Amino acid sequence: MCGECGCKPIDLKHNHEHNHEHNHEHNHEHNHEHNHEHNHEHNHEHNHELTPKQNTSSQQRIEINIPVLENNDYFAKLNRDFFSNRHIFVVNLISSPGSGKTTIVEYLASFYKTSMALVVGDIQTHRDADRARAAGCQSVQIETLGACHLDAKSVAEAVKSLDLNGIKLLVIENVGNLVCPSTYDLGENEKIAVLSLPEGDDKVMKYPALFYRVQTVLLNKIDLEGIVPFDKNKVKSECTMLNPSVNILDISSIKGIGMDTLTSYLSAKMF
Amino acid sequence: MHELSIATDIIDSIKGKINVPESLNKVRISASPLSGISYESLTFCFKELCTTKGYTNAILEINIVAVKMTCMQCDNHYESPMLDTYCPVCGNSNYRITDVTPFNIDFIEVEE
Repeated sequence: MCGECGCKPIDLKHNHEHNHEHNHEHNHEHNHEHNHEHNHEHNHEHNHELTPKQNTSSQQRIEINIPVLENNDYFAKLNRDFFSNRHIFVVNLISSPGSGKTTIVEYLASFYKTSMALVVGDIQTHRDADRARAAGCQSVQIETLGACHLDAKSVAEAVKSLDLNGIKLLVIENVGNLVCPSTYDLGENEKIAVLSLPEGDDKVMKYPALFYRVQTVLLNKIDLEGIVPFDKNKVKSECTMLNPSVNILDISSIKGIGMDTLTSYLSAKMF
Repeated sequence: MHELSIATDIIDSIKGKINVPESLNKVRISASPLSGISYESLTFCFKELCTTKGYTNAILEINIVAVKMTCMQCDNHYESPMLDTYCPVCGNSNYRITDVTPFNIDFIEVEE
């Protein structure tokens, strides 16, 4: 047996040409030569899917069977228990940059004041934490310095700098990104996606991993309906297709449209 | 580019369960179109990460499992590797997701 890939040496004495095709991928290099001649054609195809190394007898398989993100999930559970014990409702706000997350946070901070706190992630700057603080709530900024999402451990660390006495609502404003934050559980009670009308109505199916997981979608900048091209019914239909129980709220955080519905929605869920 | 984070999570999660020998030469995971990853990028990041951690022969094998769906028009049950898809029987694009394979680490292989 070939020590590189596990393929059988066949019969090294036979004299035929080796011109059949391999239909499986070799993700390693062959460092051995076939230094024998084959004088007949091989017209069969190799369709086996197993990587050759699995065929070698020196491999030991060890079953693992755990989630890929088990390490993060461990800290997420600690966070969830921590917040639950303190009767704090936690939302994880996810969207692309510029959709209006921080403006929504400002509105909520001015509404809930000292009963709300914010953990906000950005690549750089403390601008968003400063805006929320100015609007009336405690806030702590996580500067990821390049990381495209928050994880449960970073949230646990950040929360240590907050005074959680009297806090009923913790908003985690994730790094602006529709892809990377979607699979990371931070210990929240609810994932909320923000999709603004200028981004276009094609985003739900482009980023299904997020819209499959969120409990609520905020259609922000709804005041631009009719001004920018956006098929709201299509978006709502696709959101519902990925997640039949999703809640969809039309809002404009700048104009204040639908924000009372949002605060009523959140207040009803708070402990 | 969270695939490097995912690759790190894979190694850390396995290490949390067993003592991983340097003879590690394969990690097999299962993923679906809803796992939110680029398979190619994750494979690359995993290989690079393993090299820095001394698992020089380790490769990542990704078992990609299609999402199971039911057509909302004709009730046909089908599978698709993509979410933006159509029922193969009636062509309708409206479906309900019925099963998604968890994003899991299945097994590892080590040299004995």
